[in-house]
Parts: sequence; C-alpha cells; structure tokens
Amino acid sequence: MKCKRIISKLEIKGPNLVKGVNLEGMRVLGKPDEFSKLYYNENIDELYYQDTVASLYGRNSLYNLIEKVSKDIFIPLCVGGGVKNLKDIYNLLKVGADKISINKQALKKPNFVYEASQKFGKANICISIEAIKSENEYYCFFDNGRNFSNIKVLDWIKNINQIGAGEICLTFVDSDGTGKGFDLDFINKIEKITNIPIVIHGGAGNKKQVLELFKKTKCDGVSISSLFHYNYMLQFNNDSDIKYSDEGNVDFLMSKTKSKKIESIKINNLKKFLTKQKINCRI
Amino acid sequence: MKISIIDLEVSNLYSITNAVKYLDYNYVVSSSKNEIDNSDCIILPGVGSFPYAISQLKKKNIYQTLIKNVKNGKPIIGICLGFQLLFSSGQEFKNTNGLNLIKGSVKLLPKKNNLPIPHVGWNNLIKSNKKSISFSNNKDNFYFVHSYYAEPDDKKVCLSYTKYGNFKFCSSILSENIFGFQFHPEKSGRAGLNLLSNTLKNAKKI
Repeated sequence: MKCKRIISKLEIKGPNLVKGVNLEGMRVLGKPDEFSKLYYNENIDELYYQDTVASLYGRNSLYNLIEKVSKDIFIPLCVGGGVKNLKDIYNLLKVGADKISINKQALKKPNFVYEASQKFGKANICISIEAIKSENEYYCFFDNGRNFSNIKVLDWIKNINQIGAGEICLTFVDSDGTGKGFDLDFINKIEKITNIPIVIHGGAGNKKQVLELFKKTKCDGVSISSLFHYNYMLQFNNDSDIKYSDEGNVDFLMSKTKSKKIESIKINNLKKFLTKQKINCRI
Repeated sequence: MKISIIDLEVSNLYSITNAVKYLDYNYVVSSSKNEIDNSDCIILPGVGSFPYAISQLKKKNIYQTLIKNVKNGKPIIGICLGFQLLFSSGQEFKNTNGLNLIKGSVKLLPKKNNLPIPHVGWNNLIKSNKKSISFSNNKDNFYFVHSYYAEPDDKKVCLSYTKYGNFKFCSSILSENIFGFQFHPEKSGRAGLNLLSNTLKNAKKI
C-alpha cells in the first residue's frame, strides 16, 4: 500500500538553512548539508530544497549543495528556486536532483512547464504554488511570497492540468512558520479539480494537525520545516567555533530557545504516531 | 566485476552511479559497444519516454549489443524506464518495440478510482515467489515514479507485485540473468541499497 510522504523542506539562503514566518524574517538554523544527512538517517522520505532568494536575484545557488549531499543520500531530492529554462533544469538534474520545482517561470510562461515535462518527463517536474488569501480567494504569489500574480490558485491548477506536471506543492504562505494548521477546506476544493499528486506545506505546528491533514484530505504528502527543524537544531554544536556567514539572523539560533507556537517532533516519532492512527507511512 | 551503466543522455545517472560507487563496485558510464561487451554486468537505468529511449539505443548502435550480451548470459539490471525497455513493446505516446528480452508489454496505469498518475512515492513489494534474490523484508518500502507499468506474459518471471490503490502490477522481475525493478532502489534509502547490493551479488554469481 502506498505511503503518505513525509517530506522536509529546507529553505536555503546563501550557505545557511533558514526558516522564517510567512516566508519572511529568515532565521539561520544551521548548515543544510548537516541537516540533510541527519534527516536522511532519521528516515525522512524526501528532501525539498528551496533557494529562498534565487527567484528574486535570478540565480539558483544550490548546485554545490546538491552535488555534495547526493553522494551519500539515497532518497528523492527536489530542488527549486530561480529555475528559468531547460538548461537550469538539466544542470540541476545533472548534479543529483530528481525533481525540479518551478513557480515564477511557470506563472510567467506556462508553456515552459509543458516543454520541461516533455523533455524530462512530467514526473520530474513539480509546480510550486505560494498561496495567499485575499478577500476569500487564494492567489498565486512568487519570489518567496513577495510578489503578486493576480492569478487565482484554483484557476492556475486547472491550467496545470492542461500543461502537465508530476506534482503540485502548495504553500500556505499565511500559515508558514506559524504552526496554525492547514486550510483543509481549500485542499478539498483543489482535490475536486485535479488528479495531480499534491504536497502541502506551511502551517504544521504539531503532530495532530498533520494527522488531520491526512484524515480529511487525499493529499499525497506533507512538507515540513519548522516542526522538524526546531527539534533538531538544538542537537548540533552551535557554539561560536561554527562561523555562520553574514546572511541572516543568528540570534534565534544562538539563544537556543524553542519556538512557542511549534511543538517540534522527531521525524520517526511523527511517523510512528501517524502509523498508529492508521496513516500508512514508511517506518 | 565491472558494471557498465548505460548512458542514454536523458536521465539523471548521478543517483545510480553514486549508489554503485557507495556499494564499492567498479563501473563505467557508457554507451559504447566495446565497453558494454567488456563489462560483466549491465545496468540500464532510465528516466524519460519509452520511444525516445529506444531511439537513443538505436542511434548509439547499442540496441543489438544489449540484446546479444544478455542472450549470451550477461546479467542486466533494468531500473524504472530501463526495466520497461526490457519488454517486447511499450504504448507510451505510440506503440514502440522494446528490447524483447522479456515477453510482455508496457501499458498506462488505469485511470480509475481517481488515482493520481504518475504513481509517485513509497510503496511496498508483495513477494510472488521464493526466488534467490532477497527482499530484506515485506515491510520495506521503495520509491516509485511512473505512469506506465509492465505486464509480463509469463507471470512466473514476476518477483513481486505492488498495489496502487486496488490496482496490482508487477513491480520487479527475475528471469535467469535478467533483473528488473519498476521502482528506484538507488532512491529508496537503506532498503534500496540492500536490495541493489543483493542483486549485484546475485549478478556476480551468474
């Protein structure tokens, strides 16, 4: 029987793993390669890397990281941020990415997604959607939630059905990093209009919310950051011998405090909890 | 044992070469007839479409080379699309002849029960018989990404089945020197590496 996927989203800014609230106010949490290895050993099903500034600056800087981690991490790696053309996709696949996630360029030029699906197989192309609610409608944003597209999420998904993609990763930007849960009614609406596997991100603050997500929707997976990161970040040696670069705010990391809104959990503990509640997971 | 990993210039070979390297085998990534002839085992990976992959094999003049080597008893391991290429024909986009090393055809997963296509994610294997290759245990899950499935004419070659919703398909095969996996062992964590390691050990004995 097919498992529900427990994915970890690693947001990267420069050399650091970061996490913010509503995709903003990025706090440095540690080194992405160290987190990757740890999560792999802890049984994560997939890693999803997002270069948080790539789209804005027009370049993806994850090539070296992906090349490094894929040497001894044998699970699917999805990479996104600033992917503009077929060559970008090819170059990321060449260093070990399995799936490429596209947002801005897909909104700007839907035909690009069609071309990419034809060339690389649609299973390897993931459409990322940054959804923000305004007057009871969700709209698509890009550049890590900074810019507005005037396209309604539901309309966009109908369009994606036509152009083809292997997966849709939907981020609830309003809930991202807040732990306030997912908009399950909206996910149910999406399920009625598409057959493409959906991965949900943004809002997981405790294990019960993840359980609800799988009980009440048919989504294929959940993509988690804060819920795991805040648990594992305290395991690393964060003392002053580790030099974090200037990019980002390290106060949170150095203070070794826990987030109040996020009941962080270990990957395997979440999976065990879900399995007990009859949600099939890879243990 | 020297392994030749076939390069069709469409797929991500990085994962499979990393896995083979990790398991400490010698390998060469190649699409040259000589290197395939001189290897002891062939891995046919593959991402992309069935017709394009077959046209690449023909363009590189190794379509017949592969058939000849396998007919002469050289072990071959097909993965994902590479597994599907082992069969007689594929129906992706149009009907295309495959390598015909295993009699059977490759078809689109049924569009019923609203199951998403492609079938993406982790799923388990239901053993179909007691052949020599060992799956570490029935609970292990492996990573699948595919829209098509292979149906062998002779059900005895099927080593395992997998269920996607209520639909049961053949997820791995073994027929003498021919091994094939619909899933990606090189992307299936420790369970996948174990399976690949066992397969290579079995291939070495051939």
